[in-house]
Amino acid sequence: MNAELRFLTGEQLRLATAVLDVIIPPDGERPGAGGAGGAERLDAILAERPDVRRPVLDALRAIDIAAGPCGFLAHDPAARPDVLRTVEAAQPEAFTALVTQTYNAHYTCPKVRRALGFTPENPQPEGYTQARPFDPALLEGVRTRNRTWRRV
Amino acid sequence: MSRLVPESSEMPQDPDATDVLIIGAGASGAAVAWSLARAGIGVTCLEQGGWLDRTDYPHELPDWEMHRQTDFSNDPNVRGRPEDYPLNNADTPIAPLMFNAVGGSTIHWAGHFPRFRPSDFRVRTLDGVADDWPIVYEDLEPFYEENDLNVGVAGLNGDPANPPRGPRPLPPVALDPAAYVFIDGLEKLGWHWWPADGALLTAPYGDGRHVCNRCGPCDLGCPNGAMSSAHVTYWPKALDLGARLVTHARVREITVDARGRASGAVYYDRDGVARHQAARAVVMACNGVGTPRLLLNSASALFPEGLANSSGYVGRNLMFHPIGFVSGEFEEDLVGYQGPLGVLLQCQEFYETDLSRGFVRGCQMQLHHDFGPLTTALGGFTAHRVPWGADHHRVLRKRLGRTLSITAMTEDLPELHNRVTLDDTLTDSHGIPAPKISYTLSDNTRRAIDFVVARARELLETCGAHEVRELPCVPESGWHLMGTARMGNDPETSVVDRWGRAHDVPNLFVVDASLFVTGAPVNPTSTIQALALRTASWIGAHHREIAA
Ligand SMILES: Cc1cc2nc3c(=O)[nH]c(=O)nc-3n(C[C@H](O)[C@H](O)[C@H](O)COP(=O)(O)OP(=O)(O)OC[C@H]3O[C@@H](n4cnc5c(N)ncnc54)[C@H](O)[C@@H]3O)c2cc1C
Repeated sequence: MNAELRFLTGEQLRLATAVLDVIIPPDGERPGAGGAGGAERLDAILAERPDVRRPVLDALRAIDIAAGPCGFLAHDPAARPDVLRTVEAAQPEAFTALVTQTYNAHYTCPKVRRALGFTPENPQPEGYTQARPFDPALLEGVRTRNRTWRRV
Repeated sequence: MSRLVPESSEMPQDPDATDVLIIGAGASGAAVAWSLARAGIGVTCLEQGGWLDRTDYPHELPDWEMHRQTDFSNDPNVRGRPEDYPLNNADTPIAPLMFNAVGGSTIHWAGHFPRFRPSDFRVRTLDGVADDWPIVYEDLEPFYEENDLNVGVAGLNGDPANPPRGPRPLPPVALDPAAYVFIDGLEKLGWHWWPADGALLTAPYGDGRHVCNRCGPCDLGCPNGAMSSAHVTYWPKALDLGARLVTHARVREITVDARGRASGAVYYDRDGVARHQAARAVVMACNGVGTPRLLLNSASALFPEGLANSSGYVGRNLMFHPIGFVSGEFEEDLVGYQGPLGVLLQCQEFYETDLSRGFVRGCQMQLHHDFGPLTTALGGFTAHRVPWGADHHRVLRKRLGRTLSITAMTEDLPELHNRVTLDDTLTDSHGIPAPKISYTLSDNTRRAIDFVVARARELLETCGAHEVRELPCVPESGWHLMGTARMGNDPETSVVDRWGRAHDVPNLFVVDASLFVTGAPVNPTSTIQALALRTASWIGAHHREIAA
């Protein structure tokens, strides 16, 4: 798996997987963002977007440190959201960047989109079903109201 | 500074002088190119961007929604493509948005296509503010009609809020669950509504274009050619008629001859080589930021304050349409991400001045669809993110497909201090000075936003929304760039005359929204293109005199 990493180290990937699972946790049968491959997608995003690397790495590092001397991976899973909340309060910009990239990673994952009832790509060229033609009878009330534009 | 005689010795000259040189291939430049080419006048257009091919759009990529944040952002500062120029936006709460390509900003637009009303041209007379236009609605009417036929407008006649007009060539956008919800609320409140005029195809119209298939993200461009963007409406016809379009050609300055007449333009070609294109007349179509930027960059010994700027009005009176976004969440699944993003219904109940509302002039509401999963998670129109953590899925499910939104748009008024100038240090990739935007939101506009945002909330609540979120005064909303080279009869207080012809330079014209005197509370492009066609027809009728 690590051989395919483009930006993160294996260690950072494991940390990111656990953090992403707190940001978007499992939903019933469905895995959270980490388990659904979000960390690998995050790696790809960071490889392609130098502009977002720094805050995301800062947030991940801050989370690992805030979890205590043994680090985030050793932290009690039930208490992990509290760690993120601490970092969110202390470093809001970096944390927001991490959340943004987690959402980017998760909601561009084809499997996740299918599970939500969407195609991965925008539905082209099929599009969505056409709706009903407009029914001008609906406008009867509006038509009978007075002219509202001003003559000049 | 531009030279009286272009750098002919060291600079490659394009072979022939063109009759008319158009700068910018967006909505206005395209309309002018078509009109002049049809009249048999030689046209060359220089455009800094290129053509977008179907495969250039992000729609077919799994991460298409993410491209809103990168190479398909509306904001050139975020996009940073080679053909974009940067803007210094440090001194404005609203960022100008645009796209630079053949088709210009209509690559990105939503195609909401209202006309201005007659009162919009008589603001001073009726309401005692700003200025009247030197033309009236009736002057533009035939060109509105011509433009509607050329671009393919969907809509319905009989709206009591607007003057009677010729029939739209296409039926209005279809009724979907979102429309029924809005109509229910509007009828309960007794407010005006009407199917929005849309510059998009609801039925077959024109070669090589397809009917809108309701895919949703119009703001990322339309790979089907359903949206009436200028690269699929006017440009194919203009090229067939013999117009010449040079892409990846960034104009540095308009040159002038010893008599102070425009003689052409210096531009950088796709290889970065500076060239000169000679012309008998020049038409500026670079939008409300690009045009003043280029005029100011064309300062010379004859025009030390910038070309056509003896009034000092070039770059001044910048107007946006400051807006608020309001979104409502509904119980039922309205598949709110389906259908054209910005064209569904409009409400013009609050369009004309009513001083009891606490402000002068008016506002309108654009009632429309919403976004797919990623953009919904990131907060949608109102930037209220779906929370991270345990509640994430519940909130996402509550919003996705169940959200409808309103663009609550106000009329800005011209103020001299709102302006485009040249930045001292910032430049584009060719070293050409970039624009600096200085803009403050007036108290009147702020009150108008508060009012219309409150009405939008009232409407969504009446429609049955159980939660309403709002973002008053949206920072990323400078889609409409107006007023920076305005028209008028007085050369001391305007840049161009009633035909768009520069007071100072008789063969120089402006056809984009720079020439707007006031902005109305509705989207401008129908009016921009009507004005462009009107100016083109005047150039067509006078081109020998102009070239003399
Ligand atoms: C996201 C978005 C949504 C919108 N939605 C709507 C809507 O629903 N309804 C509506 O009416 N309007 C809408 N608009 C606005 C609409 O797109 C513009 O009003 C319209 O495109 C303006 O036309 P224009 O010709 O003045 O400028 P543009 O279309 O911006 O074209 C200007 C062209 O000039 C070129 N140019 C600039 N400087 C130079 C130079 N130095 N050298 C060479 N070329 C140059 C640019 O590359 C560009 O292609 C929207 C805009 C955006 C960004």
